[in-house]
Amino acid sequence: MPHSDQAYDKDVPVIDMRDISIGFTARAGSVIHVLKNINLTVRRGESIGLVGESGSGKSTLALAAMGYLKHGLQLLSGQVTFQGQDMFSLDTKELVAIRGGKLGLVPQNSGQSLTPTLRIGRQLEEALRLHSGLPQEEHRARAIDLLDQVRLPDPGAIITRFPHELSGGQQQRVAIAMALAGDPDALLLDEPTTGLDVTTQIYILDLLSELAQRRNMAMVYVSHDLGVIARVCKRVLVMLRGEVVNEGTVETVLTNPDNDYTQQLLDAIPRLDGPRMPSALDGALSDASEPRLLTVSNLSLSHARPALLDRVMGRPAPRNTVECVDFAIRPGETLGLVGESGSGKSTILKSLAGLLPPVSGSVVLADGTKLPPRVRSRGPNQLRQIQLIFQNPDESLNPRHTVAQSLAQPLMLYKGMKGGALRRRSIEMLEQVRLGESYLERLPRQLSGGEKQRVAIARAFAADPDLVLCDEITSALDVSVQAAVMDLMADLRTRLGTAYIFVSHDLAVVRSLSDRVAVLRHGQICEIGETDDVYDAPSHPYTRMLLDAVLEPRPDKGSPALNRRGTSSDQCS
Amino acid sequence: MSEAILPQDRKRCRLMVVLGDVFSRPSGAIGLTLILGHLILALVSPYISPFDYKAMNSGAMLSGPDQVNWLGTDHLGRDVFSRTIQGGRVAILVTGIATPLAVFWGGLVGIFFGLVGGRVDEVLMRVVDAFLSLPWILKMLVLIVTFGTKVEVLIPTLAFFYGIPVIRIARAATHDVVARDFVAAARARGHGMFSIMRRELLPNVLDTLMVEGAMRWSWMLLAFSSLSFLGFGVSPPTPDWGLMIADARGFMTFAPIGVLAPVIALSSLIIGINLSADALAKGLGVDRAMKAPI
Repeated sequence: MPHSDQAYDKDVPVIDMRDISIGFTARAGSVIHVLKNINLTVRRGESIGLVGESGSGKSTLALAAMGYLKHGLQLLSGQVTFQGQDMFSLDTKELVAIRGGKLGLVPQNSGQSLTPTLRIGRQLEEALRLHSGLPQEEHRARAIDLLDQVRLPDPGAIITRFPHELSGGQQQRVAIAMALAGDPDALLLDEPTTGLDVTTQIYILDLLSELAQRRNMAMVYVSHDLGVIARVCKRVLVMLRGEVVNEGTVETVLTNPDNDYTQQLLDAIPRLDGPRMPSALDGALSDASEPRLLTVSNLSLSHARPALLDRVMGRPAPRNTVECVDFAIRPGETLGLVGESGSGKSTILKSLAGLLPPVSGSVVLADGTKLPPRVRSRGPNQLRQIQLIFQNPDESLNPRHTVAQSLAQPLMLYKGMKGGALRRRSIEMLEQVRLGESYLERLPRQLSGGEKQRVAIARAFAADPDLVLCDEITSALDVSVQAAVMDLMADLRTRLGTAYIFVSHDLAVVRSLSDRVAVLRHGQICEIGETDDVYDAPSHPYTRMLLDAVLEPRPDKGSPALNRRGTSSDQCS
Repeated sequence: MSEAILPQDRKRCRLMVVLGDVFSRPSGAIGLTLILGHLILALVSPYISPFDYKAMNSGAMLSGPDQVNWLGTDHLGRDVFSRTIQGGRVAILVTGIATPLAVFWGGLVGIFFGLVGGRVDEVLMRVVDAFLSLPWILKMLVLIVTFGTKVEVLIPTLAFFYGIPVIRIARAATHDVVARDFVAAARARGHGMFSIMRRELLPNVLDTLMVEGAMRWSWMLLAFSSLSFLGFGVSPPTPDWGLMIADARGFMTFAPIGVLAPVIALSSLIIGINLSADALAKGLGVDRAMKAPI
């Protein structure tokens, strides 16, 4: 069906999906539904949020709006129309004209969707050549104009850069500019801000809202984060296992959900002003003269190793990642470390774990001995004391090791256990993290994300540590799983009296678990204090800015807009 | 006892699963059948061959195929069929031992370089590059001419030179793994270098090494046959495909079967190995085409 802009009626929905069911045929011959009987209508200027845990089918639904199905999936019933055209009956040529043209997509990880070997300008011009219909010589000017529209500083310089020369937030804005190249009527956004830190995220969200309003564009916004949805969308669909379980305006769904699952989803989100988890020890902070488990003084860290040539030439060394940091941990205490990405939080943990020797400074243990900077020079008891849990359990568990093998590593190394004793202790550890014996012989790929992280936690606690370093341990997990993992960490702390250093960019998560909080910025601690003091009365302007940038799933809670040309972290170094 | 048996059990299952998977693919089925046929032939050929491979018949030199000599005779009147079916024995023996040796040492060194990284890796890899930049036949001829063409010399020589490219592959595969957090976790726990190589890295590199080993085997067979062809492999009168081709090529115009028979035998084995390696790569998921986004 030929289509022209003039014939298009404003009241006709831009995207109309009726009774969509998508599924695949399993080997046994049965049909497995990924999406079941979903209706979705998006009009011009409207923004709709699709929210749900991973695996709930929200991305599949958004991609189906483009007439795209992942390999193996098939449209079982229903019809998808975009401006009156049935997307699944179009041929490839017509589809290509619509996709990236009138219907734009901003994928989750823009760094990976940009071609690394092409300059930004070339990539934008290619999009313009395919979709804008402008004459060749206007492409460059238009590319600069698009980059200006997404408020990138100095667009003329940006177009000559390669993707890796831009920060994550800038790459995301380039991806948005690219989606705008075809002057789209609708934009599909698949978790466009996941993986960005809070200040960059809020900036991009505001930019999107503003663009949608100005261009009278329809937006479908996919996210697992209710806070994000609340900020940009008017209407929201809550999805669970391929079905829409709750639908309505953001106000009603978030303040008065008529569905248990939505309520669970909301409850699972840690809030800045929410109740805190019980502290490990009553009055853990009362006595300043209490023994210290670990004292870090004047710690400076750098990833850069001076090259021989640079030393000979006398070039100055690059700035340290972490500069002169001091803090101390008491037994059983939890210290939260917060800050934007790149502020040096994880670097500090790495150094404490002995993976990155410091440039200067020292770490002193409870018995007054200095902790050797390198793992290799640490004694077995020093190694056992400090254990590390990583952000992504997919990465931190060896995919070829069964759970039993993973748990056996610390038990054999530190305690010399084997045979029956090893097995008994492994089962005990699994029970500590609320898993059972049946998990012993499973491989990581046979576990869910939450289960994997529990195994990683069990592995860390198997060493009987005094201090556990938690590096963003919940940020790769869904909110409901995140709540369970946090609950587990609080429980383990109460029972075992272990101290934690808890690193996260999520301020609410840190608040719910920490006794004290340190706020890091550019490798320096700009504020440290008791959790309540820092959150309720931040003394440093940067802390206040971080707190203001947190999105909460509440429609009425507005946040002050950030300065237009991006924040400190957003600038390309 | 059950806990001690379980892991091995799982591994045996995995091997069966992989073999089953390879066999279920057309290329794997054809390849494995060819390899298996050659292996059986190499084992039983001395007992089933109609003639002694060195029995000469001066009355019937370079005769065509007939009822007595199915594939005719060569320039010394020896039965080509008997020599062809026994012609792979030395080649399969030598390469069959040299290939695992090459993969073993190359893999070990490659994983070590990948783990250590830094300047040590940088410098030693340039040495590897230097070795790789020389034509293989030249390097091997130097050793073989110095030490003789005995099997005890050929095996370590082939294993040494064919292990060098394995270093590169193993190092690259290790690089994919070494930056992942589970290696950092093992480091932070205080595991030794050897323990990390064995427990964390090897299981993740093994698939690549297995496929690489299969490919190396076919190249090594070709190299061995080339050496024989040049007169540096098997010494006469032991039958060997490379040697047979060298001997018969002068008479190719009037007794083509003398060249064709060993060529077909050698290529069928190499094709068999290549097909199996291909199926193995797909079965293990090492093949990059399978990982490509759809």
